[in-house]
Amino acid sequence: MEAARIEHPRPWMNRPAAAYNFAFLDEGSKREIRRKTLKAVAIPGYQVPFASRELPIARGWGTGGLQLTLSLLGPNDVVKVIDQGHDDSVNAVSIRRLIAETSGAATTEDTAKATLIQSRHRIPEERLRADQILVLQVPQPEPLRRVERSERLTRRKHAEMDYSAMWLALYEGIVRWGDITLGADYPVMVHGRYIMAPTPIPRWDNEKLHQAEHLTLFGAGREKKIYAVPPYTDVIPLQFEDYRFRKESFDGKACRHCGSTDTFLDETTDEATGLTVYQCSDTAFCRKRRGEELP
Amino acid sequence: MIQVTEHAAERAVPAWTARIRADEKLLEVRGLTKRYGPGCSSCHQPETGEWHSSRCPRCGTIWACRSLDFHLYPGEILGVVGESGSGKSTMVKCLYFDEEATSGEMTLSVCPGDGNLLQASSQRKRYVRNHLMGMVYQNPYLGLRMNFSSSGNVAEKLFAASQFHVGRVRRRAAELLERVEIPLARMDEPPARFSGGMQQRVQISRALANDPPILLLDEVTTGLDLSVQARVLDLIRSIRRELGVAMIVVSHDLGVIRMLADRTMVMRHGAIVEHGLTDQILEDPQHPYTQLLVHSLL
Repeated sequence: MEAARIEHPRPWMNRPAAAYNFAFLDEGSKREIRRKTLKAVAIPGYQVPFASRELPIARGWGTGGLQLTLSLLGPNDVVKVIDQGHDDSVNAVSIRRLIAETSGAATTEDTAKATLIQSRHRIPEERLRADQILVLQVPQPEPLRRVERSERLTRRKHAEMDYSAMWLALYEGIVRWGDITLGADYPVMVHGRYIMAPTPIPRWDNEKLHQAEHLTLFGAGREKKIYAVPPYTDVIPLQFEDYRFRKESFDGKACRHCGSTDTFLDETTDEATGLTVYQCSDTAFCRKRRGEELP
Repeated sequence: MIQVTEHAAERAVPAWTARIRADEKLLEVRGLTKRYGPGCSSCHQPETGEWHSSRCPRCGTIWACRSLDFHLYPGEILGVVGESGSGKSTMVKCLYFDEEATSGEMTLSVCPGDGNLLQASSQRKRYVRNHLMGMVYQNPYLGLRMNFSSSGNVAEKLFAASQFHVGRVRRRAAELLERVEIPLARMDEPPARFSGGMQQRVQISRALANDPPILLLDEVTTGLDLSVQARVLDLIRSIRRELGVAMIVVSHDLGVIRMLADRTMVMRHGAIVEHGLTDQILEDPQHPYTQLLVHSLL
């Protein structure tokens, strides 16, 4: 336990950080979250219930991810927080400040320099390394929720590997619309055992979980669940033999800033011309590619 | 919409078919008991004596099934008759693992290694439900997903048997729905839009999806009008003739039993009071309750 003190630009925020425990949560809470995290790592794709703590941000705003980050954080960690690819959205900035102010940990926007990355709905374009941990915020951890409302029954379905209802949901999309209609949060099979919700990352990012070098942790604060994809784990999107999983296509489109054609692009409107333009969703990656120095 | 091409014979014959022998009991049930309540010392020997109801007068425990013994041969139709509350439906629900039996033994000759299936793991029970048995409920809302397509209802069973090729799954669904006279043009409509008779037929095609050797029919024709009833009964008979599926037909309607069943057992207050060949039961009933039942036939 150590107290952290950093200068805040807003003077009223400069009360002694020692009023908090290191990384905000008390040691008992952190230990419980770590213990549940270990269990999640031991059973890839299995949702481990945990006692989600109160935090100074509302449930459903990234508290699951934040609790994982705070429980894993050490004084030498370098933290990066992203919100749908952006380092500078309000939510990402608030969470980053909270982490920094209560722990004194260094922060960065450079994916390669971070040891701990908390993200909402995106996995960075740069491939993560074995010494990095990715923490994803989860709105709905239960992939079967769209076909089964009862928690008791979804748990039983997982236990018995009874996934025909999930396949039926995919089939219905094919019958109605001629193809698989699921977009983000595309369900995946983890190491041939559990169907898992990869959180609303675009289908583009699904392959970054498969046989990855890094550990990915998923925290759902409102739903009180932790789950994990350990390094070198199979993560295969659900697909039929004749209707395959496909990621988003950006054929003929390029980022308006860096010209990239191999990244996930956001569609936006150019305010001056009114035309539809595309830009990298991962802003840090885009800036790095343009040769900018990242903070 | 996806086109359904003519069906090709590309399905593998299920592994259990080789293990079926006509002279060997396909299903054997011994001492099947289902109790709702704790039971007491005066009702703990449920097989003894005639009861006046399935409820124990001392402790109020309901003995829905009291130590039932019966068997089923391949391709045979076993009828089960009895009044409401006699334990017929509870019995088939126990066989299909919808209800957990209190005690008893159930063996299938097609999976000899499993021993007593009532004690099997839930994974094993799931396998038996999906591959070896089909169930048709009285209320189609229990057996179908009303807001999913009819072909999807059949397909769900095929997914449960690990078939993940949409084209093949649809061909099989079309084949089955055609078999039960659902027009192919309506195969992707939800059963909620169908009439009661059609819903029952969709249920039957779903139950047949994985070519199970046993079909459980719980009051399938109850609540259907007479002409629709006749078509469903015709369908069941032709399925038995063509596919050789063994069936347990539960009904309170002796007409249905007369038309379908080879052998019949009569249940009352959770126990079997009489069993034998259907003709014998109907022409020469021995037990007073069976006599009452046969004589009250209009």
